[in-house]
Amino acid sequence: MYDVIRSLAYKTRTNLIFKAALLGVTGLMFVMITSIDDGAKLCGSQLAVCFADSGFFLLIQCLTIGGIIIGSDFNDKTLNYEVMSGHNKKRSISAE
Amino acid sequence: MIVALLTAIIATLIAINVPVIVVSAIGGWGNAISLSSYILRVAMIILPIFKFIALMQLLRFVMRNYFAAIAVGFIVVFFEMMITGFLDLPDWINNVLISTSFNKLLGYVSNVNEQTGAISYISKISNSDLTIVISVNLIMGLLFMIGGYIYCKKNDLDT
Repeated sequence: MYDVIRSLAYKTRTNLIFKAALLGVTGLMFVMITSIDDGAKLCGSQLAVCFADSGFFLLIQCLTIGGIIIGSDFNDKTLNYEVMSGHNKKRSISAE
Repeated sequence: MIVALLTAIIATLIAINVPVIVVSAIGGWGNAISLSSYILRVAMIILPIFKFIALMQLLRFVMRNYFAAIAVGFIVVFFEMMITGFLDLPDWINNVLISTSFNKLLGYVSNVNEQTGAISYISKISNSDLTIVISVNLIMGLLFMIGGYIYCKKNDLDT
């Protein structure tokens, strides 16, 4: 299980769309920072409140990152190879 | 399936929280909301994320192309936002939809004290709603996972 997590983490790290999604989060952070009142001191809790208001963007991030990780898991056909090598589908799917 | 789901949830939580951690490291935590309240909130949004990623997994099995699954997921979220923006939906639908349950769990309502001018933030969700939203998200996520598993088991895996 740990090896699968490591391989997924590696595939995600090297994925261009994942980098774009992270860039999107960073861009959103800067937008949020500029939207905070000038008088208020920039702090983590203030940003957390601003982030909470932007649920749509967070969902898009969630969608992109989740989609990439799950997609890369199936795109390399590991599941196919496991089934072809004799493991049953139940075991292969739960181990993926 | 389960490992990919776990990895996706952890990666999403990291991506969402990194900016807050970075800004906290630079400017401190502050006093808009308490740290324990934020941690509790992040722990609670694991369930809508779980539901959403389980839906993505089901879409991935059905569509066999992850770009198409992402596109459909985007349409689902956008459509939900449109519906909730234009229509006044009953509460039980708001608990079922991904975007509204996410907003309910994560969101705050600002409250200005007229005497001192201080702004305090209180949670958008009531205690009774909280139980419903959490259980609905958990059950729907499990249903999506079971649906994905059944579809995968009954169909050819060749992608």
